[in-house]
Amino acid sequence: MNTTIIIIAAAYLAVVLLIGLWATGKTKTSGDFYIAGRSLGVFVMAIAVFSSIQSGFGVVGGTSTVTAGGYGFVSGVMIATPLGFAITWLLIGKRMMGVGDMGEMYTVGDVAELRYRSPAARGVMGVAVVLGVLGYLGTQVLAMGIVVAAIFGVSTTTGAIIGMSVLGLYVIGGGILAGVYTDLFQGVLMLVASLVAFYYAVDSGGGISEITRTLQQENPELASPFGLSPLVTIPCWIFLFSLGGSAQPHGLTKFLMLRDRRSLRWGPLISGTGYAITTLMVIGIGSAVSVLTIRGEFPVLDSPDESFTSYLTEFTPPIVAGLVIAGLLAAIMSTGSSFLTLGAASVIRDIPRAFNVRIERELLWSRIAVFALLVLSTAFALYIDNVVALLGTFGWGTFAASLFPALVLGMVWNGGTKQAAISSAIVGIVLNFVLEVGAKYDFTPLPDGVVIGAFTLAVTLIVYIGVSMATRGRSGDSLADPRLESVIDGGALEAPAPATPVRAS
Amino acid sequence: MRSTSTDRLVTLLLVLVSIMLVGMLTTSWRVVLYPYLVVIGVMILLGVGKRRDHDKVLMGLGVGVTLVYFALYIWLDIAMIPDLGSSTDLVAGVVPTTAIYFFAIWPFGLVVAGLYALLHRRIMSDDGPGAGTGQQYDGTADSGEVNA
Repeated sequence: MNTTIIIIAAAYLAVVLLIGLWATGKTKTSGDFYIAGRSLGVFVMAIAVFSSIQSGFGVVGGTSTVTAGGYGFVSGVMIATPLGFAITWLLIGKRMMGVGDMGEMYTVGDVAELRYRSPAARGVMGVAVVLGVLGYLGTQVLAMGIVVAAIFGVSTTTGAIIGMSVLGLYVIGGGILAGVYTDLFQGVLMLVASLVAFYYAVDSGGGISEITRTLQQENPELASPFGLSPLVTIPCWIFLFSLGGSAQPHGLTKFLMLRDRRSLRWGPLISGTGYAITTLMVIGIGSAVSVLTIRGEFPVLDSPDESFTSYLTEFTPPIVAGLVIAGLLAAIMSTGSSFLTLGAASVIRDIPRAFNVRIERELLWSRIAVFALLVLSTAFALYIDNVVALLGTFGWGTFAASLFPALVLGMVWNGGTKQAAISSAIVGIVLNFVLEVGAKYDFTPLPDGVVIGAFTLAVTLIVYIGVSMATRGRSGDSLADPRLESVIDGGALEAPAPATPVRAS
Repeated sequence: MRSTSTDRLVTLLLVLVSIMLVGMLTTSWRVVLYPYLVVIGVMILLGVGKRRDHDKVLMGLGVGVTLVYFALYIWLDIAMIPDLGSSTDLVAGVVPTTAIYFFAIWPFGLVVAGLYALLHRRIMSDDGPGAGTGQQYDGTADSGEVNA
């Protein structure tokens, strides 16, 4: 690849490592490692949320989907997500900060156990997170391998190892503190890259009107907002990506890191605007590649996923290509770093504590867990691709279906019970797995176009509400802590503590 | 057990999501989409907490957002009936249906985020003596003091 691109990518990796080094010096406790010592301000947190939500899947997969099928993916997924940020802040922003004031809250499992007074609820949430983390990390490893290999001219395996080593170096040392500050750098880089890429993409397509005319001549539906996607897919995506966004653990836990309540105010606008700007890159490059392909001016590709990098290297100046490819690396690494710390938290805190086992020297073991997750996910991705294919089914949809009812609806409705939390989470994990894996083997019980994650989210919401109504009022289901009740009602964070402190477990 | 306004909203959510599930199984996109627009309003009302019961502005936020989304999607739905993407008239370079989506429905998500910022003090206010005034209750239930 061009020397300019290599220099820009190398400079990007060097900056990320320097931030990691700085964060390592600041990380003294497991609280620093998992929730950045509750030190974040609004800008850092909101940019970190959008950059970790905007993954390699969104950029590379979104671009190839626009190229192949028009704007349906953008209208269903990417336009729904900014609304999702507003809903997320409304539903859980104040409440997650409230429970953060009630004790040592580092993970979704900590919140689940406090909310339901049930170690089993903590354990189930922990298992859901670990499965999702391995799936997400596996896909990030593969994406990283392809991008680093393309930049430095090495094999995909070597590319993946280089990328994951850099990621490991800053996350093992600096934990989530390194994660969020690299996310800040990466998020700003993605914003600049997106605006530049959009300008070049529109220009190479001959302008927006010319792009539309060319798409119309090929197939009028390509110019429509839903593209070639089945109509029922669009509202399924809107439902899954706006509502389900609240339950993504890499966004949810960031509310535990905020310094004070005032920091919530501008968060959804910053995250939503940032995400919307990066969507421009996907729309621009996706439709430009589509138009160039129709005109016969774009090279034939082995895989549609190559359209993003191929467009940049073939149709933009090296400095632009370098900037945008660094932005793509940023999208992959920012998602990866969040998931590494989330996975470590589940392995070291949530699952052991579900069995009443407390790990001593939590910071040390968390770092070891991050290293183990890195090695495992890289090995799975590179050598046992069937495992990644299976684990890859645990992603956004699984988190939405298994965590939303218990951790989001349960935080705004005090009628939710632990039986409902556990059963809805288990149904979410199992149903997603069966349907996603089944789809790979032609077992498709759902009608064509119905999104599996949306279907399972609807089912788990019904399970959660139904089971709660059936089991509500039984002994032990009431909220014993008035502070928690107040937080759930959207009231005071600092309601009087109960006379007898209530232990979380 | 006495039913609260939150219980009623959650029951409404159960009904709406059940209808959406039927829409998915019958591949009726409108039966998924339109109930979901009401779900958005329900979620906003659940999110603002019990203050919605005595703060008309917060109640209006949930209802208003749903009504605006309804209006926008009905507009899109009507525009899609004669023409999905073949219109020769372009609006800012895109066909009218895409223009409605990109220039009205998309930005409205950010408008909701802006409304959250605008109404932040009301949303963050606690359910105490300051309720309904948009002022910040300091958490001391007996003091009766309200922090502006």
